[in-house]
Amino acid sequence: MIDIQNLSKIYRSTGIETIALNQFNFQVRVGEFVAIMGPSGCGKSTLLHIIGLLDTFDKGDYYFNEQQMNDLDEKTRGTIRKKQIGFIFQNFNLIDELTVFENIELPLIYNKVGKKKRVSKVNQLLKDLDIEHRKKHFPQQLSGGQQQRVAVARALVTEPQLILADEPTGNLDSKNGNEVMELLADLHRQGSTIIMVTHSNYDAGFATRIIEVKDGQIMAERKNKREIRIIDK
Amino acid sequence: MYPLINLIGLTAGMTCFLITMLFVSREIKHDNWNPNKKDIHIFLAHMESRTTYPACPAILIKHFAKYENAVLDYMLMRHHGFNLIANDKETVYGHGVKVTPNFFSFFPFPMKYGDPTTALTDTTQLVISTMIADSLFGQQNPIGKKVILSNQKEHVISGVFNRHDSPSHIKYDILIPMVEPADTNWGNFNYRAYLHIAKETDPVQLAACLKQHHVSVGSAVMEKTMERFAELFSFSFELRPLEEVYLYCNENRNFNVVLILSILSIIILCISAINFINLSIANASLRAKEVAVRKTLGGSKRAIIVQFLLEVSIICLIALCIALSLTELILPHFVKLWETRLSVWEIFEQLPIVMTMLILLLLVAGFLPAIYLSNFKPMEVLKGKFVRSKRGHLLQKGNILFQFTLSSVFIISALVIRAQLNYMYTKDTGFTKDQLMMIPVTDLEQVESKRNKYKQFFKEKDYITETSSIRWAPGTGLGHSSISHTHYGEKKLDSDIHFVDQHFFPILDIPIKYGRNFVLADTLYDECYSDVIVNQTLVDKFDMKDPVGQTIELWGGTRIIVGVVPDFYKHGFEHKIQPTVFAISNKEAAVIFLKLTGGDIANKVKEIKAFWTQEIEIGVPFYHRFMEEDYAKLFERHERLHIMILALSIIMIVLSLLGLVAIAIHTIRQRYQEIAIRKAIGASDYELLHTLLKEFVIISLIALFLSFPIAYYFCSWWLGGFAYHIQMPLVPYLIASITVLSLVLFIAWFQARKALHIDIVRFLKFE
Repeated sequence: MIDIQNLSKIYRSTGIETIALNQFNFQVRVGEFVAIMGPSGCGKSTLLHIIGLLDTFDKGDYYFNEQQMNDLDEKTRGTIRKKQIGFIFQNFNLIDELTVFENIELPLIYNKVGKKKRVSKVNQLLKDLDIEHRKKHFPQQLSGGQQQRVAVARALVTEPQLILADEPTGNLDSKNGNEVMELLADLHRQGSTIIMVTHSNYDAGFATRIIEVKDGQIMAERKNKREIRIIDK
Repeated sequence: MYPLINLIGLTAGMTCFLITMLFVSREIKHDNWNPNKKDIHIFLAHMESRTTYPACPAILIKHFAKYENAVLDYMLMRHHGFNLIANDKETVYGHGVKVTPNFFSFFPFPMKYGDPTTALTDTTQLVISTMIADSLFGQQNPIGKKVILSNQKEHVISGVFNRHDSPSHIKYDILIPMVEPADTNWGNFNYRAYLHIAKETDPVQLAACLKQHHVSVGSAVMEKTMERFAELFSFSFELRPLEEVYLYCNENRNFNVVLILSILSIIILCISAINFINLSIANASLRAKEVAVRKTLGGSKRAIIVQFLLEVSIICLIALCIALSLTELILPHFVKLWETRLSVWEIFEQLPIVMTMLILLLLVAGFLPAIYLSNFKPMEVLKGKFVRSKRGHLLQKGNILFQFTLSSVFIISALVIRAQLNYMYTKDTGFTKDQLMMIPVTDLEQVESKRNKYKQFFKEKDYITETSSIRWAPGTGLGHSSISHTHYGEKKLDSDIHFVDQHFFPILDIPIKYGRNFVLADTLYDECYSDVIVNQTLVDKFDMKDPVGQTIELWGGTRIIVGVVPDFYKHGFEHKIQPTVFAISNKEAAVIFLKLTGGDIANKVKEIKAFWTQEIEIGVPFYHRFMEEDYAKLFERHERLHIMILALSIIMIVLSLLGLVAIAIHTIRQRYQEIAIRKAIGASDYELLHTLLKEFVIISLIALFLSFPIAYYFCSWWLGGFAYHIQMPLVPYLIASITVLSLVLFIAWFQARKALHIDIVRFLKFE
């Protein structure tokens, strides 16, 4: 599904060059749940942003569903984002001025889904994620865990092929964090492809494959041993 | 960019304020310098159907003052027209008035030369204003010099007074002594009277006493029953203190102008101050990081406020300097427009007001943003979080709403006024004004004695098709006419009475609707004929079935209606057309009409002028006029208002756009994170623009919605001042809507466009 070859990303600010990704090679198949780990500033978030077409890169190739992603214009990138990718952020990134329902509905509006279909879809998701009673609330009125569940719902509502999660439990306590991870694990079981950036070994334990990034390169890659989850529990 | 916008807005507001302040302070100064402004009263007579006249019979005041102790002193004056004054070298014109010797004790204008107590005691004396003195005698002291007044009588200059630094409703330049008013008729309201009354006297009661006195003594003198006399002179009397005369008792509605201009200039100054605050706050969020860093480095709150105030003061001072220069640039045009005298130096007389304005501006526009800025919590700001207050947001929206409502009101008003002006310019006035040259008669004796000579000359010139000698010219200030009771059987009307000759209607292309024109030999004749022509309004008001041949009573005599003319708009469109009687006389003509044909008017005028000055009015300057131009002057006052409103609407729009720029930048920047989120989810540029512009469109729609009734109310009030006016047009409302909407959309779009290219990743990371 994702094929990244020799990808480089360099940040330039007056005279100083910082190499975020260096000749990076990375592949993801449909149905995988990949966790990306590494110290701060290792380039893992940059990688996620490039995969999510939120950021550009300098060298190398990036294929998404066998389609080359180099030098696409902003409009096409936007179309791919809204149709095929769902985002979950550490800071939730919900829109304060919109209610829970409207937040979840938003991607459907951008995808030009009809009103009737939107309402039924959002309501179904709200029920599935157990936040139906909160649908008229504003994000500021919810707990962190609830907010992240809304964010997950918003990422899922378009049924994207790929879900990108950037430290989804970073702002949550362990109980809420666990609930969100269970949600992602469920999605994976239902066949979604997920790429997640995380600091937490525990969270990474939910993934099928873990890669460790340092200084813009992959340091290690391993198949996940399910036992970790049991031991940690 | 920010300081520049700030500077422009502030400068515009200040310039507006300074000019209006100069104008208003000059208007308010009128007669206010007079030490007796509360005790001196002007006598006003209100006619039933008409306006108010500052006129009374001289004998009434004289007689009354003898019996009434409350009247300490009185002063009488009689209008003496546009006068010619000449010494052996120069000839100039000025408005003249006959005054009783105590004029200067009522109006103590400063004297440049001469003694005010003795300058008006003899009828051979003459007091002139500094303006006349300068043009006649230059810098010389003119006391004792001889001048000729209107080619008739020799006078000796006995005083020079300066009326320009002491503005007053008395706008005469030539004071002619009048020791004893000649007219002793109790029914002639020909004099203007000022009464100096005792402090404790109630002017309302005194006016009532005057009325009673007029009826009781007047009826006895004129040998009429009191009832008949009261019916004849059914005016009510009023005494108005001097301090109110200029602002309230004037046809030009001076007080309204002062009020409207003051309010508008203060609003504009306030708006520029509010915009200044908005821009500063918008700018402050840009500088939040700077402040935060200063704070973390130990800068105290006070130091930050002081720094900010200093910056604001500098901007204010620069704005004031530019505003002063702009004021000096604009003032001459403004002075010309309002026919007033102002100098930019008078600002220094108003220094306290200017200083108060500056300090208030500094306090409000400097302190508020400074406090806002200094209250930033450094850690939050450094992490990228701005203070987002719902209330502040609402205030900003309210401010924009207010400004665009005002802008829209201004645009609509300017357009409605323009529409009415166009209507007045293009509407058929009922008479032809084209190429109608008017020669005002100055020296009547010469003109009448040489009548045959100029008649012959006009006949020889084939470019002069028609001529007419009349006492009154429609639509101009030339000549004079009167208003009198006219009786038709039992019915009574106040009618305009005009004396014209038999050429009057043909030269103005006014058709005779029924009956015939005057038929007379073309010689000099006086008002001895009983034939009259009346207008349609008179016929309608008297409800005459078959007007031609009917008789009406006028001035105690019987007149036969020989013809009826259609109504024409002789005084413009403000007043209803009044019932009018045209009586016949070509004696004492005030104006000679000449109908010219063909091109090259300038040369023809030159030839007529040469003839007239060399053969007819010898030694009298020739100042011809054209009726079309004079008639257009009737609309001057409205043109003035139009120019003012247009200028203010442009300033208002510029100011509101500046305010909008500030608020658009601020509110859109506050939504960067939201935009980043929406973009990440896949919003297209179009969808983002829609999201960002929606609130601006809503605000401008509400502004328009609010402005319509206000503008409608104001415009209806203004149009109501015209007896003949347009129906409220809808186009101005449409134009205002399109203008406001497109300007708002353009500014907001321009700012929103920048937001489309933000770095998504950066704003998604905000916590």
